[in-house]
Amino acid sequence: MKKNIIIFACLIMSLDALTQTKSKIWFDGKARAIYNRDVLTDNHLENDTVSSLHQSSGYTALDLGVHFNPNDNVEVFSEVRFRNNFEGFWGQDNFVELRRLSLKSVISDGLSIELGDIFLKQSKFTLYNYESEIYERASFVGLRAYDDLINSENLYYKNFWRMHAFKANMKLDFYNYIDAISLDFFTSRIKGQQWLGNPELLMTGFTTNAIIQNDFQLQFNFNNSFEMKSTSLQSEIIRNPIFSFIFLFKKKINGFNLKLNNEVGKSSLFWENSQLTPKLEDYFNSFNVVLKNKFLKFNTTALFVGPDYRSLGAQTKRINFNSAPSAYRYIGNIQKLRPISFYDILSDPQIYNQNLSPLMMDHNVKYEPISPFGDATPNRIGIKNIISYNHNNFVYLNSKLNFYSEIIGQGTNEKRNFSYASASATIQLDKITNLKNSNLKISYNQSKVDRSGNDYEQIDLTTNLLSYCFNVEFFKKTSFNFSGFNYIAKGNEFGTIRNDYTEILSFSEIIMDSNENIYSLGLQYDFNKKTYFNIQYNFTNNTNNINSDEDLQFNRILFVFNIDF
Amino acid sequence: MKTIKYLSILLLIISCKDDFEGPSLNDVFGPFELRQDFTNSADTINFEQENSMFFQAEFSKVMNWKITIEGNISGSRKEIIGYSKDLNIQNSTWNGNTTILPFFVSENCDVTLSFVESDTTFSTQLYVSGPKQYNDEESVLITDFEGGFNPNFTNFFQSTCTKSIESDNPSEGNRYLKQIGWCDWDWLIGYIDFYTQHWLEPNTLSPDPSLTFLNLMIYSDSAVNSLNEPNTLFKIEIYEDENLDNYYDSSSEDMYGLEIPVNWNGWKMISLRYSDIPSLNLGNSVQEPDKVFKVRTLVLSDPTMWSSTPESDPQARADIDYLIWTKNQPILEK
Repeated sequence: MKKNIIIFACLIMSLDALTQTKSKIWFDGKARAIYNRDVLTDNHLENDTVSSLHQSSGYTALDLGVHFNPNDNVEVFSEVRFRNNFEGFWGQDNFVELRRLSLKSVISDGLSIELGDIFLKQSKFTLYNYESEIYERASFVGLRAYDDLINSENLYYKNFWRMHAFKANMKLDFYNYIDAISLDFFTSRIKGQQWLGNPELLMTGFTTNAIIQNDFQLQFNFNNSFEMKSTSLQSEIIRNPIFSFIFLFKKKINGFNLKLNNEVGKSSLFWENSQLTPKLEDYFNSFNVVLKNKFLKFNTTALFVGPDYRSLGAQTKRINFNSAPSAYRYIGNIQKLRPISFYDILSDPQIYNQNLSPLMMDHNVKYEPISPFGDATPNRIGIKNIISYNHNNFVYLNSKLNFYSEIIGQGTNEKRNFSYASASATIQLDKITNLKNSNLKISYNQSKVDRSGNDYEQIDLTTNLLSYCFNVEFFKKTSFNFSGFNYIAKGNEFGTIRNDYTEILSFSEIIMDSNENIYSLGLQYDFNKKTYFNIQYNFTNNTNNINSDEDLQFNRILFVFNIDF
Repeated sequence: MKTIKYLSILLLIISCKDDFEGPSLNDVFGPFELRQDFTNSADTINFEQENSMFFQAEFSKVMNWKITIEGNISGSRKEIIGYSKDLNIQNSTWNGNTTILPFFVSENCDVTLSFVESDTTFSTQLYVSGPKQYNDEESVLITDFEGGFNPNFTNFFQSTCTKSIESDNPSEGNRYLKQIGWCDWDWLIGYIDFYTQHWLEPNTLSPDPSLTFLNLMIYSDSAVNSLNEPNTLFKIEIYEDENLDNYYDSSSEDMYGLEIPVNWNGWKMISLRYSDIPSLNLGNSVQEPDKVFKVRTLVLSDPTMWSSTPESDPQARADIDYLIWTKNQPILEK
């Protein structure tokens, strides 16, 4: 710890000296102070006399980003975290860690490289960081302080994955039929070798994009994840090459902007040096049409994803449902490990995953019944539609209607049918009332999964999420917020038990009848758009009518002071 | 509309892919029913004339099943296990052999079909008119003690130990050799030398040690000593006459052997692949079953483990029956 502080102090002093001569160094970052105190409710304590009544935790953290430009073409970036937990005596539970370190350089006109901790993304089927299905449903309302916390702690930036990589980018401009061609290449080390264990896992990717007369774009993506045999005694080596072609077309028609996007490709997953392992190959195709103007937007996607489609880069999930929640990890008189709940998904950054996974991650059908891996969910064919309407920036309406089916059944010839419907509205109350900066948001969405067949094959699962919030600025820069979430899941489904080769070995029947309610009252003072102080009180009530051991009711007071600079 | 038609056609084409992913839900969760009764291919079977018989049944789903055939007279038991949706000639054939000794004799047998996933059982019966004969043209029988104890087999037993031909509990045929006693001054209870020239059948063993198996039945009463360890060791020694002078020279000829702790209850078939038996005396270091001179069996017991009244302690015991060489596989796999 002392050594880290000394090294950092020396770095700052030397950098400061350089700053004195020329402005080559600049800083950015985030700072946060957060504290929460949880208390079990009297209802919960009727059935749980073992769990502690109160729990609390908190910390202050400074993520200091240092950008250093030794010359016009090179930038060195490092983000250092200083964190002090609110536990123990000062100095005993704090640490300094290097969160990110990268180097960027422009080699010549049109050629640039990056090396270190960088954000990478390709297409939705090759390398893409999908938001969690349930998080996407809830984020329309969302709880901003938690959203910022989850994204910041896990280094989520849009749909990029933060990876240790080398990336090169080149752009060539042309003057005739083709306007420009860009080439991106990257190679990344996903997992290091383990002593007497698994070999090193690398990923390489290549994207080339051609812009043709401003209206057309053709893109080719290649992504390959592979293990290095020479780094392990293990003989089975995984290979996961994927390629895709994307065709993009844009045009203005009768006041509408039309955008067509078609991605088609193929994936393979196989293990070299092994006779007994499967070879999984399949295709995918996504055809998207967007038609929009100032008021209206239609977005339709027809999707086909083969059952054997596998992609390490696109099928890694954000939520790790095998992890343990932070709040009241063990509950009940038998102190059972609590499964992840809806409240944890909204608020707990510890359950989120930051690394690509070579194996198909588990998902929870209660919260992710339809597309647990986003558009990259295998064994899906269907169509999804989104209609949005903006009425004079006063009312925003949005509706989604998705219909999917399995391509082949699981355990039976009968196939699952999926449907999803949602409607949401935002009303800017400040347009029709004297309430300043106020809005009302309400959203309802429902997922249904069903399958016919014999008694032991049938599936009937419905999940409903009603979310709403009211915001009003009642004093200068100070706003009041009330949010609510009601999540109901009822019915039955089957979980899959897979081996290391993603083959289904067996099924487990899951019966659900649960009701989760979250209410939040909060006050927020906005220093500016990025800096705020938030205090809120959350009421949570989680009732499981099938397994009452998992019932949990607790309240939380949360203080957050968040600074982005 | 056109889009839906296109998707439907695509779905139809694609639905001609594999049937479904993973195991059948019927096999995991479906109810169990017997779709075809449990029957034998023959109610009476003579294994001396016919090679085998089989069983039949059909289930509503894949099951872990076990067929147990138990001889009403011998108490011999044969178990056949499998994982399938039906019983047929491929997966439930019985050639008359046994899993748990003794061998079957001519007797009625109870046959039971049971399952891991269900408590339901089904039963049938059959009659073995002619039990399986293990001694065929590829085996070499040393002795089965049916004609008594061959006096040409030299032997030595301590004064406190006995060997005797008994008929109360044979594992094969009607007789076996009982070996029992105590000895608190020496490891040796007794030994017997089965010289090749006095075997019931001449030595026509293959020269390939990997294809040659020595089989014998050993009876134990699982007696233990004061340290709660088996109080009896059974040792097998095989002597080779490499220069074929009808004499074993310990200075220049191979001897192979091993010790077996006798720690089970009842009769047990011991089958040893010749090539797996370690060397105890070096000769030309080439295992040559066709040059076996004699097989010696020894019954041993730790002399220090006996109490002050050893005659009252559980006696060391290792009865033997049916010593036979087989080719290609152990006798119970024939």
